[in-house]
Amino acid sequence: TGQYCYAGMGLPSNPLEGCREYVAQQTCGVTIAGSPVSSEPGDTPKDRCCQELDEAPQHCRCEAVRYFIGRRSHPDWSVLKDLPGCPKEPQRDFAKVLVTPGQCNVLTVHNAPYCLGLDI
Amino acid sequence: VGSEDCTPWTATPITPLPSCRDYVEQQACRIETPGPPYLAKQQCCGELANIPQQCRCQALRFFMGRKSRPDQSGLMELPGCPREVQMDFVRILVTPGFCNLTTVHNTPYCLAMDEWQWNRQFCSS
Repeated sequence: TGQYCYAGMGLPSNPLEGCREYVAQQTCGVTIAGSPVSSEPGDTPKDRCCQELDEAPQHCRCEAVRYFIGRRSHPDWSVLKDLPGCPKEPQRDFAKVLVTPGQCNVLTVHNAPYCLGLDI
Repeated sequence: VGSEDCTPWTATPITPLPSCRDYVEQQACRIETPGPPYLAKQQCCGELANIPQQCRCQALRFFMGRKSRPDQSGLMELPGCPREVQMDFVRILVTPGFCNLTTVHNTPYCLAMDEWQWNRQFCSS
């Protein structure tokens, strides 16, 4: 896959799908209907989310977040979904900080644990 | 936005949330804050809690300020800690994972935190 960071090429077809639960939990204190939340160490929503971010190549992690939250010009093209009691908009705000030290703490294309320019 | 007058939290030249600056720097960039690590959160959330529920999101918009106006922001551009990243934290400070405070929406999150969504009334302040 090399240098590419596209969904399906360099990234899974639904990037950070495994982060949906963690984001819903942290943003609104809700769970995604039908998916019981594990509190087993190593298998919490945060663990699963961070593992997926960790597995993405360093230079593709912000691009994965970008796919996950969608672009303003195409609000329907995102992995995030509106949930009962938890609209997409605040989930999107939370997802932007997933790579930072207090969350998954992974390095990105900026060689630092943050993403820039996600407001597009 | 309800009947609450939010002017005191959106018009002062000095940030109404000084401790939140520390907390945001700690969370966004692991910058060390005075005292034990939990103190910054405690003080920031205390300051936010003191702002009326109806005004919290407005106060946060004012606190981060416009991207193009670093001179009118409660946040500082720091080496290794871009103001943009700090701004991402300010918009989620009320959520359950951080201060867990209800807002004008009667929920623990803010909406319309992108600059282009800010209303005219707020822009003029």
